[in-house]
Amino acid sequence: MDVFSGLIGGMGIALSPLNLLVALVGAVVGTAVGVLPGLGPTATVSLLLPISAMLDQTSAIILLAGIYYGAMYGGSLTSILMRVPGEAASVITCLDGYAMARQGRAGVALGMSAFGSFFAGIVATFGIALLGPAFAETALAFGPVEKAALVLFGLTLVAGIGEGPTVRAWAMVGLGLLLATVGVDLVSGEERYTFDTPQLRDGFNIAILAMGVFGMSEVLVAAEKISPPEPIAAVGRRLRDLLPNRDDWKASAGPIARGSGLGFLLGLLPGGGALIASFASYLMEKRLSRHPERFGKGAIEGVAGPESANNAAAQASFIPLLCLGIPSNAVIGVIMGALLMQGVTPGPRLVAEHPDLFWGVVASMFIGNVMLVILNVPLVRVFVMLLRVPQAFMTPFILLFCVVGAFSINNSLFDVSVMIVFGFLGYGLRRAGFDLAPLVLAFLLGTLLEQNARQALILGFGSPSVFLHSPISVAFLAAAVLMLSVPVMRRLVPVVR
Amino acid sequence: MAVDYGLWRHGGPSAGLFPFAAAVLLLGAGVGSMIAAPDDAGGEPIAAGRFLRYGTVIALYPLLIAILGTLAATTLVFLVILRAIERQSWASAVTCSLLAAAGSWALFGYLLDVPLPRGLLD
Repeated sequence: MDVFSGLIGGMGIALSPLNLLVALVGAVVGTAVGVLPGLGPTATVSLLLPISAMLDQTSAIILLAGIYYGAMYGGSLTSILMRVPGEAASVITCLDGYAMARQGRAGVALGMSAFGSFFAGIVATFGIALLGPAFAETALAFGPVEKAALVLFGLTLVAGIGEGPTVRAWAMVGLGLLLATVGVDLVSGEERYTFDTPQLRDGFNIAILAMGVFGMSEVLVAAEKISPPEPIAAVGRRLRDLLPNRDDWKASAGPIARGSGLGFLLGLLPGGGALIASFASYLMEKRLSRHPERFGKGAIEGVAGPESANNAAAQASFIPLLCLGIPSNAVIGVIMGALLMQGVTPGPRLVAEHPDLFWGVVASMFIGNVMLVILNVPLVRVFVMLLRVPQAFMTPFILLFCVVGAFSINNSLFDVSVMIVFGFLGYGLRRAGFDLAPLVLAFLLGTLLEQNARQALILGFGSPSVFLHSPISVAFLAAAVLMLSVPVMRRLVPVVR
Repeated sequence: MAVDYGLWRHGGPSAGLFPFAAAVLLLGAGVGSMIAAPDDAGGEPIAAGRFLRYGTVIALYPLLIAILGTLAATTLVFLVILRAIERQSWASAVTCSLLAAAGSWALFGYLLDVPLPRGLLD
């Protein structure tokens, strides 16, 4: 079956009344899950597994897939309006999305986030249909050695993400890496920095950290103000006035296209996915920008790129699952469980043995993305009205959102306390002039770096030369060295002259 | 502590190597930050009393949830913030507190089936 006839056949399946209904339910539930902090798509997909078992295999996966990429749409909402990430992949949107909201451009940020996600979703769906299996095989070339080198390169970029002097960003990178080591060491089984506290054995959750340092610290910043916080710039009432204008589109077209491509590629990598894709896109846009100083202060590129990337990655992560039987992240792992419950073993034979399932799910992604943009864009006006709520009322609501959201991740009051501690830590660091984005990103990359680097060293019998045996690894390490040496060279050249 | 976990054992990295490397980076960059921009911290003055009141309420919130349950603790925290800190009228403070507590309970506790704590009465 060629791609075209496969898609046509898939459309027939996806447009059946039942599949349209489950796609709509998936999109709505996913958006809601994305909006609510704490309750992520992994937990929701797990909760809905018994319901999916009552559906046929195609409908079940359409429902669960809809929840996953729907969450990518919804996750940006609270990031932009409250600086509380609704979903881990929307953490980076807090930086420029919230700044845009403070400037009265929340509608533009929300609109661009929805349109960017839609475009990325369509691109990723085409990518899955056309290039999926081939790319998935390439992804297998990324073993621990290559991934460790890639993450190391990523860390050298992280320092460039923050505001202020690079040395401060490196301090935050160090802190983020250190926080990532808390918990049971997966190689030796030894507990690190848990102080005999059972709740710390699994380490800190990225959502707890992000809610604390971004959301809770925002509450504390509002609490310290002598005068009432600056009113949010006036926003229009008509939807047309709220949505992106021509200049916004011009500035966002490149980031959306690049974010879609990057997100798609990173979504293919085992261990990759929406969260890493959004951070990588932000770093790339800041590096490419002629005015990187605008980032963190309301640059629309900082919303358009990451929001496109996380949606593209969410959808691309279905390729390793469906074509290779490899779940690239936790949500996809649960969806793989749903497939197995349905008696379908994902892998290279899936497309041939279950064409209805593969093409039905691919076609439903087109339909699901159209549904999501239709659902989200008209609601921008309603969401923006939330900004008219006086700060005196908004602050306790952000607090409540953070507390209940943190609790609902593991149903644990300990997590709430940890989130609050991170809030005070984040507030203190902000007061001291440190930027928090490198901390969160380094925390995320830290676990990946340690796991992969240690696996790589075990494979190389303890010899670091293992990193020089792979051309991919050498390329990433060379890029990392280049990234580190450029600022040094810039300082040295005038001195020599 | 990182050194206690061991840096290199059996011809490979041990549990302490990465924490040690991260700590060295943090220490080095921290010292570098102080040398590079020692007076950059601080910024505008803060409303210390207001911040202290907010900070106390936030710090006590999990404890109140454990004792009183989510519903009562949220109502109380909202009342204290809106009435005692933000100086809103009794009517709006009480209405908003009850709505926030009931709304969060209905959404998370009822619709999403999150087992929100019921306090010592549970």
